[in-house]
Amino acid sequence: MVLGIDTSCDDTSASVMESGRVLSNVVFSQIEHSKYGGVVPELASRDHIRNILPVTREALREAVVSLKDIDGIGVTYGPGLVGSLLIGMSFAKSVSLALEIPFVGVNHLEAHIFSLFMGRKINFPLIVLIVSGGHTELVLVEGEGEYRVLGSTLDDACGEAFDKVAGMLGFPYPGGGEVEKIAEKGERDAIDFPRAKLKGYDFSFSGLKTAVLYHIRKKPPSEKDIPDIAASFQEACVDSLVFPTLALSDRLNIRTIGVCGGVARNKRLRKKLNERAKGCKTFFPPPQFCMDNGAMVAGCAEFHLERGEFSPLTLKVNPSLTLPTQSP
Amino acid sequence: MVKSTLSHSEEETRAFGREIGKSLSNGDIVALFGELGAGKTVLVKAICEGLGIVEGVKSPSFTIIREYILPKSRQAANKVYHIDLYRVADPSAIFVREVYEYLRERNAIYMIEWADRIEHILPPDTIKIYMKIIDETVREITINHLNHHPSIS
Repeated sequence: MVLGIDTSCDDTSASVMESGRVLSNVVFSQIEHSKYGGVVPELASRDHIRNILPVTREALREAVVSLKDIDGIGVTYGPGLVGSLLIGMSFAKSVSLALEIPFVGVNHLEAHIFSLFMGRKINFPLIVLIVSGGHTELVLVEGEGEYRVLGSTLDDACGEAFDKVAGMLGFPYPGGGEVEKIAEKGERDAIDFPRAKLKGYDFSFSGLKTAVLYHIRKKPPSEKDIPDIAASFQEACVDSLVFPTLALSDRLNIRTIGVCGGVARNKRLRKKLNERAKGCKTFFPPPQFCMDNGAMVAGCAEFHLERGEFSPLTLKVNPSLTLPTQSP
Repeated sequence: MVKSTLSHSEEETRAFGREIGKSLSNGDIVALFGELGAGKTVLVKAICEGLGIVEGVKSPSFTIIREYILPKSRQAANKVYHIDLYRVADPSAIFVREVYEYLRERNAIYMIEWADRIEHILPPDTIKIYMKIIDETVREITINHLNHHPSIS
């Protein structure tokens, strides 16, 4: 039975997993509970310190197990905010030492990929699009634990562009979800926002963000213009994600595509990818596993621990951790 | 001295950034001010290019700090901290303290986007760059005291 801990960014999460089965998955979101209306992310991470014990206790309680049933622990060691990562890391190392159980550091990006495998089997090779507030990466997964990044954003992450455009439209941070909601009432082709055309399989959202800004500056939108702007922006984002993904799928002749990360919840992205990916099998995690969560970390940790891949207690956090860009 | 320039294209902004990058040395703090879309990240990318970092520089809005290691051949400094305070509209005392601790070390080159959030803790020798949108392609870039960097002032 494995305990998975994630404190890489704003959320504190813990999950208990047994042989790929999620027994509990508790996420405490600092954003949802922020009394400031927006978010005040702390490099010092007071909130993680305050939350890690109650969140872990709750995860054990929901799984109806006690700490002594846990025989391995996994924790995100990067990428993320350094102060936040340190809290989870120190906690996991302490638990490992106290219970004399193995400990493994988990790459947050690999954990997102594992959110696709929860409760189902997907055949290799597959192409995975990781798309969230902090990441936009196109990864070739050739086999278990074999990753190669073939494309990534050159500037803003997709979810970040959503949050920034939300700010321009007057929604409080993080407003990406609000943009999706109000886009449902708008026309997708009302405004022809640019789709970045890049060589290879990289992404860019900065130009699109600026185009929305110019549009708003030129003619400050009235209440009734906002749905059209949101819908047109969202469509440009979705196209900017779908086209490189399908181009890579064609190029490599790989017809299995997974999408994970916070933006994988976006309904328009799901719909358009499914429409365009003719002859492909597409996979999305259930919504609760798209956002940062402990279950994906537990799943990833279980995989490594089963292979005997433990981390030393000297492991350091790595805020800039990536997945390999070369074949292993 | 304060120097104001008009950039008429993203390419001009990049060329300007590369020049700044070439003039930086270890411990320098570059603070960027300007609204969303003004081109702060574009300029930081170009400054990094000038320092010899050609890949992997992107917006750290979500993770707040990114760290880039400089190529060994460029001995300007060992690393660059790219800090982006967009999400920290209302920083608490502890947060500001944490950023202050980073800056106090002076063991890297620091680039700070949305620096208005922590302007009160910036040391007097901070290189401040203000970016203003004039129209869709034109940006006004104002830079304070670069007098210790004769190559561009």
